[in-house]
Amino acid sequence: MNEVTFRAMGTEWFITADVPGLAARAGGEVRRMERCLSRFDAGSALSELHRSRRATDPCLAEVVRVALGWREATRGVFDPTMGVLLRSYGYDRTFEEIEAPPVCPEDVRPEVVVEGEVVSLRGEGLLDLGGVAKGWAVDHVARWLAVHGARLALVDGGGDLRAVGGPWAVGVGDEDAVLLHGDAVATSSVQRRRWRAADGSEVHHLLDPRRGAPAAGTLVTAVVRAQQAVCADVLAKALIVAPEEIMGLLPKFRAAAMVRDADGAWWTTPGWEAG
Amino acid sequence: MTATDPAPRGRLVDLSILTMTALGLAAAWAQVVAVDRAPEELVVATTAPAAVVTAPVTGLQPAPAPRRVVVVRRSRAS
Repeated sequence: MNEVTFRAMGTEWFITADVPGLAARAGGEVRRMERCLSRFDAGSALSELHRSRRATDPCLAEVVRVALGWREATRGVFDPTMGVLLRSYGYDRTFEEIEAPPVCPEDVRPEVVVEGEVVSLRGEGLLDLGGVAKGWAVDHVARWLAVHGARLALVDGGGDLRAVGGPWAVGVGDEDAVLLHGDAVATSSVQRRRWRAADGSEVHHLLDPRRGAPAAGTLVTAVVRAQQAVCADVLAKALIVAPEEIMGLLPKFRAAAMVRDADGAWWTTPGWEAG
Repeated sequence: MTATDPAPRGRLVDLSILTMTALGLAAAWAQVVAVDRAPEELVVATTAPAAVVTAPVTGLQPAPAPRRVVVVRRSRAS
Protein backbone atom coordinates (compact mmCIF):
# COMPACT_ATOMS: atom_id res chain seq x y z
CA MET A 1 0.00 0.00 0.00
CA ASN A 2 1.24 3.46 -0.73
CA GLU A 3 -0.39 6.67 0.41
CA VAL A 4 -0.44 10.43 -0.01
CA THR A 5 -1.68 13.28 2.17
CA PHE A 6 -2.23 16.78 0.89
CA ARG A 7 -4.51 19.79 1.21
CA ALA A 8 -7.17 20.57 -1.42
CA MET A 9 -10.75 21.90 -1.59
CA GLY A 10 -10.18 23.62 1.75
CA THR A 11 -9.49 20.42 3.68
CA GLU A 12 -7.01 17.60 4.33
CA TRP A 13 -6.96 14.60 2.00
CA PHE A 14 -5.55 11.12 2.47
CA ILE A 15 -5.49 8.49 -0.25
CA THR A 16 -4.03 5.01 -0.03
CA ALA A 17 -4.14 2.26 -2.65
CA ASP A 18 -2.60 -1.14 -3.32
CA VAL A 19 -1.18 -0.13 -6.72
CA PRO A 20 2.21 1.64 -6.62
CA GLY A 21 2.03 5.30 -7.62
CA LEU A 22 -1.77 5.29 -7.98
CA ALA A 23 -2.55 7.30 -4.82
CA ALA A 24 -0.36 10.19 -6.02
CA ARG A 25 -2.04 10.19 -9.42
CA ALA A 26 -5.43 10.18 -7.72
CA GLY A 27 -4.34 13.30 -5.85
CA GLY A 28 -4.01 14.97 -9.23
CA GLU A 29 -7.68 14.15 -9.88
CA VAL A 30 -8.66 15.93 -6.66
CA ARG A 31 -6.73 19.04 -7.68
CA ARG A 32 -8.38 18.97 -11.10
CA MET A 33 -11.81 18.98 -9.41
CA GLU A 34 -10.72 21.74 -7.06
CA ARG A 35 -9.84 23.94 -10.04
CA CYS A 36 -13.37 23.37 -11.36
CA LEU A 37 -15.40 23.69 -8.16
CA SER A 38 -13.56 26.14 -5.89
CA ARG A 39 -15.47 29.26 -4.87
CA PHE A 40 -12.21 30.89 -3.81
CA ASP A 41 -10.49 30.49 -7.21
CA ALA A 42 -11.56 33.24 -9.62
CA GLY A 43 -10.58 31.02 -12.53
CA SER A 44 -12.80 28.06 -11.54
CA ALA A 45 -15.86 27.02 -13.53
CA LEU A 46 -18.02 27.82 -10.49
CA SER A 47 -16.64 31.35 -10.31
CA GLU A 48 -17.26 31.76 -14.03
CA LEU A 49 -20.86 30.61 -13.51
CA HIS A 50 -21.41 33.16 -10.77
CA ARG A 51 -19.85 35.92 -12.85
CA SER A 52 -21.44 35.19 -16.23
CA ARG A 53 -24.53 33.28 -15.01
CA ARG A 54 -23.52 30.52 -17.42
CA ALA A 55 -20.60 28.10 -17.62
CA THR A 56 -19.71 25.08 -19.71
CA ASP A 57 -17.83 22.41 -17.81
CA PRO A 58 -18.57 18.66 -17.52
CA CYS A 59 -17.38 18.43 -13.93
CA LEU A 60 -19.42 21.42 -12.75
CA ALA A 61 -22.49 20.24 -14.66
CA GLU A 62 -22.28 16.81 -13.04
CA VAL A 63 -21.89 18.16 -9.50
CA VAL A 64 -24.74 20.65 -9.95
CA ARG A 65 -26.94 17.90 -11.36
CA VAL A 66 -26.16 15.73 -8.33
CA ALA A 67 -26.84 18.64 -5.95
CA LEU A 68 -30.21 19.39 -7.53
CA GLY A 69 -31.07 15.71 -7.34
CA TRP A 70 -30.42 15.76 -3.61
CA ARG A 71 -32.55 18.86 -3.18
CA GLU A 72 -35.43 16.93 -4.71
CA ALA A 73 -34.68 13.73 -2.82
CA THR A 74 -34.61 15.51 0.53
CA ARG A 75 -37.67 17.63 -0.34
CA GLY A 76 -35.71 20.82 0.10
CA VAL A 77 -33.97 19.98 3.37
CA PHE A 78 -30.77 20.19 1.37
CA ASP A 79 -30.53 23.14 -1.02
CA PRO A 80 -27.43 24.12 -3.05
CA THR A 81 -28.83 27.52 -4.03
CA MET A 82 -28.25 29.22 -0.68
CA GLY A 83 -24.94 30.79 -1.67
CA VAL A 84 -26.10 34.33 -0.90
CA LEU A 85 -27.52 33.37 2.47
CA LEU A 86 -24.33 31.52 3.40
CA ARG A 87 -22.26 34.51 2.40
CA SER A 88 -24.44 36.81 4.44
CA TYR A 89 -23.68 34.56 7.41
CA GLY A 90 -19.98 35.00 6.72
CA TYR A 91 -19.21 32.00 4.55
CA ASP A 92 -17.42 33.87 1.78
CA ARG A 93 -14.39 33.67 4.05
CA THR A 94 -12.65 30.90 5.88
CA PHE A 95 -14.12 30.06 9.27
CA GLU A 96 -11.28 31.79 11.08
CA GLU A 97 -12.16 35.04 9.33
CA ILE A 98 -15.90 34.96 9.99
CA GLU A 99 -17.23 37.99 11.74
CA ALA A 100 -20.62 38.38 13.39
CA PRO A 101 -23.29 37.87 10.70
CA PRO A 102 -25.99 40.48 10.09
CA VAL A 103 -29.17 40.34 12.14
CA CYS A 104 -31.24 40.18 8.92
CA PRO A 105 -29.29 37.97 6.52
CA GLU A 106 -29.97 38.23 2.80
CA ASP A 107 -31.60 35.20 1.14
CA VAL A 108 -31.83 35.23 -2.65
CA ARG A 109 -31.85 31.92 -4.54
CA PRO A 110 -31.44 31.43 -8.29
CA GLU A 111 -33.21 29.02 -10.61
CA VAL A 112 -30.64 26.54 -11.87
CA VAL A 113 -30.73 24.87 -15.29
CA VAL A 114 -28.34 22.12 -16.41
CA GLU A 115 -28.32 21.13 -20.08
CA GLY A 116 -25.56 18.72 -21.03
CA GLU A 117 -22.34 20.36 -19.87
CA VAL A 118 -23.87 23.83 -19.62
CA VAL A 119 -25.03 25.26 -16.30
CA SER A 120 -27.12 28.44 -16.20
CA LEU A 121 -28.38 30.59 -13.34
CA ARG A 122 -31.60 32.55 -13.77
CA GLY A 123 -32.40 35.39 -11.44
CA GLU A 124 -30.18 36.58 -8.66
CA GLY A 125 -28.35 34.37 -6.22
CA LEU A 126 -25.37 32.05 -6.00
CA LEU A 127 -24.72 28.34 -5.68
CA ASP A 128 -23.05 26.75 -2.71
CA LEU A 129 -21.73 23.30 -3.56
CA GLY A 130 -20.01 22.83 -0.21
CA GLY A 131 -22.57 20.23 0.82
CA VAL A 132 -21.91 17.89 -2.11
CA ALA A 133 -18.61 18.76 -3.78
CA LYS A 134 -16.34 17.03 -1.30
CA GLY A 135 -18.39 13.84 -1.06
CA TRP A 136 -18.76 13.73 -4.81
CA ALA A 137 -15.01 14.18 -5.24
CA VAL A 138 -14.32 11.37 -2.75
CA ASP A 139 -16.61 9.03 -4.72
CA HIS A 140 -15.07 10.12 -8.01
CA VAL A 141 -11.54 9.37 -6.76
CA ALA A 142 -12.59 5.98 -5.35
CA ARG A 143 -14.12 5.01 -8.69
CA TRP A 144 -11.02 6.31 -10.50
CA LEU A 145 -8.80 4.16 -8.28
CA ALA A 146 -10.90 1.05 -8.94
CA VAL A 147 -10.94 1.68 -12.68
CA HIS A 148 -7.15 2.01 -12.61
CA GLY A 149 -6.66 -1.34 -10.94
CA ALA A 150 -6.94 -0.77 -7.20
CA ARG A 151 -8.56 -3.66 -5.35
CA LEU A 152 -7.93 -2.17 -1.93
CA ALA A 153 -7.99 1.58 -1.40
CA LEU A 154 -9.31 4.25 0.95
CA VAL A 155 -10.08 7.89 0.17
CA ASP A 156 -10.48 10.41 2.99
CA GLY A 157 -11.53 13.89 1.96
CA GLY A 158 -11.75 15.97 5.12
CA GLY A 159 -13.52 13.25 7.09
CA ASP A 160 -15.74 11.93 4.27
CA LEU A 161 -14.44 8.43 3.56
CA ARG A 162 -15.06 5.91 0.79
CA ALA A 163 -13.49 2.48 0.62
CA VAL A 164 -12.50 0.31 -2.31
CA GLY A 165 -12.62 -3.26 -1.02
CA GLY A 166 -12.09 -3.76 2.68
CA PRO A 167 -12.42 -4.11 5.55
CA TRP A 168 -11.18 -0.67 6.57
CA ALA A 169 -11.57 0.26 10.25
CA VAL A 170 -12.66 3.90 10.44
CA GLY A 171 -13.23 5.79 13.66
CA VAL A 172 -16.63 7.43 14.15
CA GLY A 173 -18.25 9.34 17.00
CA ASP A 174 -16.26 9.62 20.21
CA GLU A 175 -14.65 6.19 20.46
CA ASP A 176 -16.55 3.95 18.07
CA ALA A 177 -15.54 2.49 14.72
CA VAL A 178 -17.08 1.01 11.60
CA LEU A 179 -15.63 -1.45 9.13
CA LEU A 180 -16.07 -0.20 5.59
CA HIS A 181 -16.34 -2.66 2.70
CA GLY A 182 -16.57 -0.59 -0.46
CA ASP A 183 -19.02 1.81 1.17
CA ALA A 184 -18.71 5.25 2.74
CA VAL A 185 -19.14 7.21 5.95
CA ALA A 186 -19.44 10.94 6.64
CA THR A 187 -19.94 13.10 9.71
CA SER A 188 -21.62 16.45 10.15
CA SER A 189 -21.80 18.49 13.32
CA VAL A 190 -22.89 21.88 14.55
CA GLN A 191 -20.71 21.65 17.64
CA ARG A 192 -17.49 22.65 15.99
CA ARG A 193 -18.22 25.74 13.97
CA ARG A 194 -20.27 28.04 16.17
CA TRP A 195 -20.08 31.73 16.77
CA ARG A 196 -22.25 34.45 18.27
CA ALA A 197 -24.40 36.62 16.03
CA ALA A 198 -24.79 40.36 16.34
CA ASP A 199 -28.01 39.93 18.32
CA GLY A 200 -26.27 37.66 20.81
CA SER A 201 -27.77 34.38 19.57
CA GLU A 202 -25.48 31.45 18.87
CA VAL A 203 -25.33 30.38 15.23
CA HIS A 204 -23.60 27.66 13.22
CA HIS A 205 -22.89 26.79 9.61
CA LEU A 206 -25.72 24.33 8.88
CA LEU A 207 -28.60 26.38 7.55
CA ASP A 208 -32.18 25.20 7.32
CA PRO A 209 -33.23 26.08 3.74
CA ARG A 210 -36.87 26.32 4.68
CA ARG A 211 -36.30 28.80 7.47
CA GLY A 212 -33.33 30.59 5.99
CA ALA A 213 -31.57 30.35 9.35
CA PRO A 214 -29.25 27.99 11.23
CA ALA A 215 -30.88 24.64 11.91
CA ALA A 216 -32.44 24.36 15.37
CA GLY A 217 -33.08 20.63 15.63
CA THR A 218 -32.48 18.20 18.46
CA LEU A 219 -29.32 16.62 17.02
CA VAL A 220 -25.84 18.14 17.11
CA THR A 221 -23.83 15.46 15.30
CA ALA A 222 -24.75 12.89 12.66
CA VAL A 223 -22.59 10.06 11.31
CA VAL A 224 -24.09 8.45 8.22
CA ARG A 225 -22.98 5.26 6.56
CA ALA A 226 -24.09 4.78 2.93
CA GLN A 227 -23.02 3.29 -0.36
CA GLN A 228 -21.59 6.61 -1.57
CA ALA A 229 -19.77 9.41 0.22
CA VAL A 230 -21.93 12.11 -1.35
CA CYS A 231 -25.03 10.31 -0.05
CA ALA A 232 -23.55 9.99 3.44
CA ASP A 233 -22.43 13.63 3.41
CA VAL A 234 -25.75 15.09 2.29
CA LEU A 235 -27.82 12.89 4.60
CA ALA A 236 -25.62 13.68 7.60
CA LYS A 237 -26.21 17.40 7.09
CA ALA A 238 -29.90 16.92 6.35
CA LEU A 239 -30.37 14.77 9.47
CA ILE A 240 -29.27 17.64 11.67
CA VAL A 241 -31.55 20.07 9.84
CA ALA A 242 -34.69 17.87 9.82
CA PRO A 243 -34.17 14.66 11.82
CA GLU A 244 -37.72 13.29 11.66
CA GLU A 245 -38.05 13.69 7.89
CA ILE A 246 -34.62 12.46 6.93
CA MET A 247 -34.73 9.42 9.23
CA GLY A 248 -37.62 8.20 7.14
CA LEU A 249 -35.54 8.52 3.98
CA LEU A 250 -32.49 6.57 5.17
CA PRO A 251 -33.72 3.08 4.19
CA LYS A 252 -34.47 4.30 0.67
CA PHE A 253 -30.78 5.12 0.25
CA ARG A 254 -29.58 2.02 2.13
CA ALA A 255 -28.13 4.36 4.72
CA ALA A 256 -28.02 4.25 8.51
CA ALA A 257 -26.86 6.73 11.09
CA MET A 258 -25.43 7.23 14.52
CA VAL A 259 -26.42 10.58 15.99
CA ARG A 260 -25.67 12.61 19.08
CA ASP A 261 -28.24 14.70 20.91
CA ALA A 262 -27.65 17.99 22.70
CA ASP A 263 -27.11 16.16 26.01
CA GLY A 264 -24.21 14.20 24.53
CA ALA A 265 -25.99 10.83 24.24
CA TRP A 266 -25.40 8.71 21.13
CA TRP A 267 -28.29 7.04 19.30
CA THR A 268 -28.54 4.84 16.23
CA THR A 269 -31.11 4.43 13.52
CA PRO A 270 -32.44 1.00 12.58
CA GLY A 271 -29.93 -0.75 10.35
CA TRP A 272 -26.88 0.82 11.91
CA GLU A 273 -24.18 -1.73 12.45
CA ALA A 274 -20.53 -1.22 13.00
CA GLY A 275 -19.24 -4.25 11.13
CA MET B 1 -8.01 10.72 98.24
CA THR B 2 -10.17 7.53 98.44
CA ALA B 3 -13.25 6.33 96.61
CA THR B 4 -15.37 7.00 99.69
CA ASP B 5 -14.54 10.67 99.78
CA PRO B 6 -17.75 12.61 98.89
CA ALA B 7 -16.21 14.90 96.31
CA PRO B 8 -14.52 12.21 94.17
CA ARG B 9 -17.69 10.09 94.36
CA GLY B 10 -19.63 13.04 92.95
CA ARG B 11 -17.14 13.27 90.08
CA LEU B 12 -17.46 9.52 89.48
CA VAL B 13 -21.26 9.87 89.30
CA ASP B 14 -20.80 12.78 86.88
CA LEU B 15 -18.49 10.66 84.71
CA SER B 16 -21.01 7.84 84.78
CA ILE B 17 -23.76 10.18 83.61
CA LEU B 18 -21.51 11.56 80.90
CA THR B 19 -20.59 8.07 79.75
CA MET B 20 -24.20 6.97 79.65
CA THR B 21 -25.15 10.13 77.76
CA ALA B 22 -22.34 9.59 75.25
CA LEU B 23 -23.39 5.98 74.73
CA GLY B 24 -26.98 7.08 74.27
CA LEU B 25 -25.98 9.72 71.73
CA ALA B 26 -23.80 7.23 69.87
CA ALA B 27 -26.66 4.76 69.68
CA ALA B 28 -29.00 7.47 68.48
CA TRP B 29 -26.46 8.58 65.88
CA ALA B 30 -26.03 5.02 64.66
CA GLN B 31 -29.76 4.70 64.31
CA VAL B 32 -30.01 7.97 62.44
CA VAL B 33 -27.29 6.81 60.06
CA ALA B 34 -29.11 3.54 59.52
CA VAL B 35 -32.34 5.40 58.85
CA ASP B 36 -30.52 7.78 56.51
CA ARG B 37 -29.08 4.87 54.58
CA ALA B 38 -32.38 3.16 54.03
CA PRO B 39 -33.70 5.66 51.44
CA GLU B 40 -30.35 5.47 49.59
CA GLU B 41 -30.86 1.79 49.08
CA LEU B 42 -34.35 2.49 47.83
CA VAL B 43 -33.02 5.13 45.44
CA VAL B 44 -30.56 2.64 44.00
CA ALA B 45 -33.36 0.19 43.54
CA THR B 46 -35.51 2.69 41.72
CA THR B 47 -32.94 4.35 39.43
CA ALA B 48 -33.28 1.83 36.62
CA PRO B 49 -36.64 3.09 35.30
CA ALA B 50 -35.51 6.71 35.67
CA ALA B 51 -32.41 6.00 33.54
CA VAL B 52 -34.56 5.20 30.50
CA VAL B 53 -34.36 8.52 28.64
CA THR B 54 -36.53 9.51 25.76
CA ALA B 55 -35.04 9.35 22.27
CA PRO B 56 -34.65 12.80 20.71
CA VAL B 57 -36.30 11.50 17.53
CA THR B 58 -38.86 8.73 17.28
CA GLY B 59 -37.28 5.50 16.10
CA LEU B 60 -33.79 6.08 17.45
CA GLN B 61 -32.24 3.47 19.70
CA PRO B 62 -29.51 3.98 22.31
CA ALA B 63 -26.17 3.39 20.61
CA PRO B 64 -24.48 0.10 21.49
CA ALA B 65 -21.28 0.18 23.51
CA PRO B 66 -18.46 1.50 21.36
CA ARG B 67 -16.06 -1.04 19.96
CA ARG B 68 -12.52 0.04 20.40
CA VAL B 69 -10.41 -1.10 17.48
CA VAL B 70 -7.31 0.26 15.84
CA VAL B 71 -8.51 2.56 13.07
CA VAL B 72 -6.71 3.74 9.96
CA ARG B 73 -8.60 7.03 9.68
CA ARG B 74 -11.42 8.90 11.43
CA SER B 75 -14.62 10.31 10.01
CA ARG B 76 -14.99 13.84 11.32
CA ALA B 77 -16.99 16.95 10.68
CA SER B 78 -14.97 19.39 8.62
